[in-house]
Amino acid sequence: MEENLPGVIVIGAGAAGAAVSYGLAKSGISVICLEQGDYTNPSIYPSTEIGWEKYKFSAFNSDPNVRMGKADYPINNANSPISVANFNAVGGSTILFSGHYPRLHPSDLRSYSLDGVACDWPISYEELEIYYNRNQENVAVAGLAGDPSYPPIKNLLPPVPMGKMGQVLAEGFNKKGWHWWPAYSAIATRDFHSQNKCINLGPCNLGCPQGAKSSADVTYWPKAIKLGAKLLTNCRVSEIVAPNPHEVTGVKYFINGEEKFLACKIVVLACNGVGTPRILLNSKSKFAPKGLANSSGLIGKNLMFHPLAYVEGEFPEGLDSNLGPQGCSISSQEFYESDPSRGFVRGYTMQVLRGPSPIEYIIGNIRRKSLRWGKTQIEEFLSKYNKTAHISIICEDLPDPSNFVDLDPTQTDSDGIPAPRINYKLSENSKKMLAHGIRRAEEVMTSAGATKTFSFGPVRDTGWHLMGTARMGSDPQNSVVNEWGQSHDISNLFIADSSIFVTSGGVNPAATIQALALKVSDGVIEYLRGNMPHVRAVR
Amino acid sequence: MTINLLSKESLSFLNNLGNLILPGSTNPYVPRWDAELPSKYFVVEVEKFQMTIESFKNHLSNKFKKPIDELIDEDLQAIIAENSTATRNFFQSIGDCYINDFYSRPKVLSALGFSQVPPFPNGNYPFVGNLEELEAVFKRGRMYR
Repeated sequence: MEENLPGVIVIGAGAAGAAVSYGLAKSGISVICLEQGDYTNPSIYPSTEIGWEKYKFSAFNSDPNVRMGKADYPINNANSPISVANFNAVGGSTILFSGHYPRLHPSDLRSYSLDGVACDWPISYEELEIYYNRNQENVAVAGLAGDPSYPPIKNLLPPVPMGKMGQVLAEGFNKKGWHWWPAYSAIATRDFHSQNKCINLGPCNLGCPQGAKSSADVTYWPKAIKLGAKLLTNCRVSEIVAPNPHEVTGVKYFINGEEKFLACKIVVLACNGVGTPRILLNSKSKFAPKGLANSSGLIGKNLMFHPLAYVEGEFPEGLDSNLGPQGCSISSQEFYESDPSRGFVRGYTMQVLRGPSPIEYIIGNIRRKSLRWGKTQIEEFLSKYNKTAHISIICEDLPDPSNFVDLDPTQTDSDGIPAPRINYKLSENSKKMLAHGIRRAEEVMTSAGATKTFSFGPVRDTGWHLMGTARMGSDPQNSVVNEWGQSHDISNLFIADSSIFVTSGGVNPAATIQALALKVSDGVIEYLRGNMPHVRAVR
Repeated sequence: MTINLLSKESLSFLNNLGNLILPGSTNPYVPRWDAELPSKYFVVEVEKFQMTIESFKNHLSNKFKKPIDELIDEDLQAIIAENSTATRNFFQSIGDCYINDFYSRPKVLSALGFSQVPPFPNGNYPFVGNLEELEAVFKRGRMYR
């Protein structure tokens, strides 16, 4: 029966688009994914060639305004202390992500009920947990069971090596009596399906030539394509076509500068918390003057990042800081759950990061004047390098409608599609949380034996996590999609990416994005089977 | 986009400046900047900032009244400490290019004891860690709500 089901267009081939395409293809549904980027070739990732580090500052930079590749669109970050980071390719930003892959906490889905802030999610942790577990059947996740900060998590691969630096900081956490645990990492620490075992090369955030990092191009896409999903690259969607208020009929997209139309029965957006509202806001019509699926007025609103602070400690001894997966070692969630005595609500994770590679270290230290140009540079560098430890503070960001994405009135991409504009301010709650996190991380450093610390936050170029701009909920006036990612306004339009997050939690979102995308694929399947209400735009 | 190639004079300035800001080290195996020609990456990147280069060149010339290859480290530290707009702009736009080029050179990396690329496919062997240290954390019991 399902072979005859009508076709679905998925827009975007990143973490969410890959998982939702897989879920649909596995059920025999014809699915075509349009991706504005191209395939990347792991065998030519920068870390395989001499001079590899310079690509971090050019073609593999996390800022699309720096990269300015063919697949990239400009983003106006002028009104934000945090700039958007992304990567446009098959696999999306998972090509460059560090692999942090923690789950949300149960309390993250009930922040209104528990703490009186933001909104509750329309689903419980237990419902989401089903999809976290299903996601782990396809995505290699390393970690260690028994973490008291989470409900039990099964089927983890062995944790990534802590490294000498991680060990020293773990002892620092223990001296403070604070929680720490090996990081949950989307890294195959042993062979997993087609993924090779991690060999601890280091620069995960320039692409993993080993194929050990669970980027969506190596996890879901090969399986989805084998199951029949079609993936069209270099196709940039400009708008979703809705000839009446009740349904969408296809998408307009550009390929090699030429505009085309592709018809379908269902559209699933999976373009992240900036790309998705960009397309919806650009899909205006006489039926949708504020943008498509926007009767609530919430498309683009409630943008959440994870404000991030950085603390570095200098140690007298060598810590082999730069050996191992760069982003993942150990984490602490001592200050994750709300405690009114701290002066802010909600909380944060402390993530222990490996040290930067040599060039990144030198450039960073010259900028902050702890290394000099001239005859002493090399000796100073060698005396400090690999003797540092690093903690990032990743703070929960609360939804606020005054933080939003809209369309830039003048700037466009190479196809003439308006660029997104970020309008964002740090909340007082976030500022207090950042300050608290910095102080606590400095305490850990000192406790672990650091002789000197250096801290700052928010770190500007860390806007990887783009959430909340088309949030889910059961009330159509206060949300954009229902718990299955289905638009309240248009029944054959779904959203599967981090736009639909209700709150951000204080952890990296990739695991939740992919779990939710699998849930959305179930929603699409149920809709096609006639089990999902066909909501009409009647307001 | 049209790129105006750097003049010989500008290249010479950049080369001499490279020797001042990246003069090697007391380790005789670490070469100074001009031991090798700059990479294509360097030339392509710095060509975008010709006005910045000219402005900094003029600033140095006005300040020291002597050729750049006669400047010494004390002169460099003085000009950086002064933090003029011309100096700031120069190092903000071109400083990273010097670092990227110099510290990507096999001879430099080798002299500093670093591998030229991550050791693919042999890999690294970081310390696994002592997970017994988690006992105290585990014994705290449930922390989540």
